[in-house]
Amino acid sequence: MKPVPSTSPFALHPWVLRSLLMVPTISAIVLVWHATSRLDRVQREMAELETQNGRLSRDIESVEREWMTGDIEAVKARHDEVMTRMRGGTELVSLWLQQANERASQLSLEIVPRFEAPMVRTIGSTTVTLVPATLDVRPAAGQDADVRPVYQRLLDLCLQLSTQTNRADLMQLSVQTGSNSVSRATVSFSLWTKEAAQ
Amino acid sequence: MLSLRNKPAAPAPAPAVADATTAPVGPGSAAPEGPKFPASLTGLSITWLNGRFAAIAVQRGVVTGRWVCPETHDAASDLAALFREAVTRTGHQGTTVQMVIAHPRLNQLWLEVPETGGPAVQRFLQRQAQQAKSFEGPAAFSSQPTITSKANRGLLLHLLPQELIGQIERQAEAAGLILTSLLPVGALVQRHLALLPLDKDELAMLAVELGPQTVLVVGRKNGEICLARTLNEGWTRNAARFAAEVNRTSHFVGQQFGLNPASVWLSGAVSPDLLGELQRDFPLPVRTSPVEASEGWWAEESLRSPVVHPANLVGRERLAEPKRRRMLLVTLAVVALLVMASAAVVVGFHFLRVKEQRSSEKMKQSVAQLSKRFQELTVTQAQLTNYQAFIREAVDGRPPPVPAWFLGHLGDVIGPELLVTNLVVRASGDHWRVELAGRLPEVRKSGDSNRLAAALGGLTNRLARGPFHVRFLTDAAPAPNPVGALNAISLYWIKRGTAPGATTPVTGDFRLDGRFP
Repeated sequence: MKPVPSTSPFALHPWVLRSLLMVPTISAIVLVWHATSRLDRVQREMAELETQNGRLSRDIESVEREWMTGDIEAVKARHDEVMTRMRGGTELVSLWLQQANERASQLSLEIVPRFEAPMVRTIGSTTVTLVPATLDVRPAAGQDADVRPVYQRLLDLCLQLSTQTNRADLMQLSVQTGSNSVSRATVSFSLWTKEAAQ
Repeated sequence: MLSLRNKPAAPAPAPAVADATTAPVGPGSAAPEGPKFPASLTGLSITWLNGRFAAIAVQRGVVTGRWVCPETHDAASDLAALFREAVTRTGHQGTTVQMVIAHPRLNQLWLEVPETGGPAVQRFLQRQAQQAKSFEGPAAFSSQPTITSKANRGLLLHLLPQELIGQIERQAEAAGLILTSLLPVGALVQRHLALLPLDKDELAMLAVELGPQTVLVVGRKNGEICLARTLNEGWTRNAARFAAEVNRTSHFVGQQFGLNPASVWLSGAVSPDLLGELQRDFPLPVRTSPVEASEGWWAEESLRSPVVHPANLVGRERLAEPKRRRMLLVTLAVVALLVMASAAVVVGFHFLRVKEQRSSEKMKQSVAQLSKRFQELTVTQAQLTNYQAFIREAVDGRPPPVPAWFLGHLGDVIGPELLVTNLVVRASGDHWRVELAGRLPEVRKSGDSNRLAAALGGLTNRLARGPFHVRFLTDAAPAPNPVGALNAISLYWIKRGTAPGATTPVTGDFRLDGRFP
């Protein structure tokens, strides 16, 4: 049998012994609590991330379902096509004026163009410039290239100028007639251009 | 308070062992045929009676060995070796030891104390013990109740140097034993008293000669005692002196307790001649005890005595130490288990957390990618929505040349009698505004306003139908107004009920204001 050492821990004061036992006990409890709280924090963060991930996945799926890849490309292509067809302000005005003169000449009409200050208009994310253009139209004096009534020729001019590739909205038509036929007309258009005309 | 006190005596040589059954025996010569013990009893009991050392070990109620040291050992410093040898010779398997002591420095003190107990009595006993001790250093004491005296409660205190008790405990510890009981031999004499052939209430004096000392106890068969004394005399060495001490004790008992002992019993070697000599000195009958109180007998009686004997000189703290040690070991084991379980939980949670963190990192990357993708999609969606709005407005929303169509339609629906002088068609918000002015030449000549009304009614009715569905305004005021910027002709407006919005001038001129979607 081993002799019991006189300085055994059993000889310690009970309160000292209890304190010594409480230290590892409390430490163990605190450590477990600490580990649990840290794990809980990470798990909660993980749960939030999973929720966020799920929500984003659903949103993306919803958007992707709404916009098929083909649709996206088609819309982009259509927009590009429209923008490509739409001419610049100066170029368009010149071209349109040239065509107006050509048509008017063919229809034995005289036109006096008048342009007003362009207006900028934003549609979605695209900005266009609207150029108000007014034509004072009179029958050409001494020309008999087109023998139809002025009324018919005016109609043709309006229809031809408003149905060109480049958009020109017919906004107003004022017609003044004399005793027999149209003596004078004012036709207002709104020309759509990419940029402001000079 | 009255006290009887013994002076310490120098240790005398131990007498020869009178009882043949207590002769030194080895483990092989153990005598298991002794008195019966409870089956649950296991322990080692040692007697150290004025230097004589003997041991008996019991295992589950069976004596496993007896040993009587042939030499005497007065010094407590020899006890560790004696304890070890006792364990070896008796084959003791336990860790506890009980001890019966008779020592020159052991003495008794009888005190009267109030009936009320409590700390005050303990302090009183402590003070009296320190004052009455006959040795140097602090005294340890135990107390056992005595037969109630005339007025107060009686207590018999056994005094022994604190240092000697500590030394015995340390020696036991050095031998790997825990001292659980240290009984003064006087506390066991009352058990001897119970074995005497006494009447029920007979008070007797029992003297037990232990070497140079004699233990004298006054009590009854039922174990109640009045007094116990350790005399430094014995009938073997000085019968007259012994007789005087016995008589003195008898008188003291008569004074304090009002009781008179009826007989004197001697335990030990007494020759018939000596017995006769002693009988002459005593007024009471003197008899020899039928009990052979050898070292082995004391050891056995010690085992039969409860550990919590009131005369036990080992403190309660010391007695509780084995239990406390077991509790401490259990507590340590529980704490160790708790710590290990905690460590396991912490480690497990750590790995779980690391795993969760890795998953979390991956999930964060996934969320970041999805967020980026969603932002891109949102931007693309907004861009596409804008594109669609633009396409819808620029291409699909292109308005037809409505004014030209209206001019063409007007040519179809106007009657030949009406002459239109001015026509204005212009966009006005979400609808078209039309202003029509002219005249009916025949009416100007004839002044027949009904004809003008009929012609205008027909015109407005035709325009009100498809495709333009013109709604003419009816609230125009009759006033000479120019028709737009292009009309230089002054017109008079007369409200007419023939057609909505139609006004007929007296001069045959007319003007119509209307709108269509």
